[in-house]
Amino acid sequence: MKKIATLMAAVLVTMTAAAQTLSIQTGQVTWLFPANQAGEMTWTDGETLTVMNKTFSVSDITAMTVDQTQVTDGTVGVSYDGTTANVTVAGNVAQYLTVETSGAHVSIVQSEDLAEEITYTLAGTSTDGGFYMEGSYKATIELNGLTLTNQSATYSGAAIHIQDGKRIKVKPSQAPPTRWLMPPRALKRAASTSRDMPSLPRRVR
Amino acid sequence: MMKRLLLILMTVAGVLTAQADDYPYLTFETSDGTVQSVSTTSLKLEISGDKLLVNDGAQSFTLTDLKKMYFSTNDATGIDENVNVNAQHSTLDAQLWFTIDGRMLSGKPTKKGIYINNGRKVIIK
Repeated sequence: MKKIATLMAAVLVTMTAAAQTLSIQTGQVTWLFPANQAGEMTWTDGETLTVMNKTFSVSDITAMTVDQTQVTDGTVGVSYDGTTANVTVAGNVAQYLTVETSGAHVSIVQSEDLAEEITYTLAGTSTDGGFYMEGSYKATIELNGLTLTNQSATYSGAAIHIQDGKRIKVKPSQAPPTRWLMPPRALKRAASTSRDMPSLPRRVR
Repeated sequence: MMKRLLLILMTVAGVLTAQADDYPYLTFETSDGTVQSVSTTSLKLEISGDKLLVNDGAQSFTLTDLKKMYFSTNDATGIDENVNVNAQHSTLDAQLWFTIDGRMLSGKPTKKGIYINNGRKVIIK
């Protein structure tokens, strides 16, 4: 009986992993809309497409596909790869986020209308990249084997800069140690820091 | 305890199976009411100039003609979305005549009496 229950649980995990998804790519950002949440998607005057209240300019869309990409609600993934960074955004929070990228530098601004916690997962390696997040709702930052050095102040001089007055949970992963480095002159702190937010060292190896 | 857990897991599996079903079609609707469905299998959409290309140009839509799109379980190609269902029902109701005790007649009665037509009592003299 225990074996059957374990097998059922394993099957359930597998079943939740894959679902039909509409992926809309705008440059380095991929917006993932589960087919069973997308509903009616509106085209307006040949200039915009609106999906789950997120409006895209047609001119910004570089690709659209329907596939079995895994989407977990309330998540944003940032994957650094040398001089570039790719961002994936779950459809249910897409309307609340403004995402900008420049090479391996990423800026995400949360709307004040956001009312659910987003988990940002940062991974990969870059010798000149950064992650800047600005918002007014609590968030979780997961560091998944991240090695990040910021050499230029594109959105911020810090490798990771969180501008949010609410609780920010930082979760380092268990696997390869996470390292973030920033030039000594570029230490940044949030304007109002949460008690739970760790102070970032100037140089961490 | 284990039996209950197994029952719960099977119920959740059933629900998730229903949710995990893919939609076989992505249906496009244009401003003139035309509806066209495309298969979602390995579907790729690309914007090129003023066109939305489906699967490397196998099909295309003019962007300014597009009104909406949605995932669907049926191939809706050719169905006119401009059909006014309520207007059809009103026309049908007006053609049906019933006696006062609820029996449907084959057409407009010629005998004197009280009848029901289009939701109203009608007196034929």
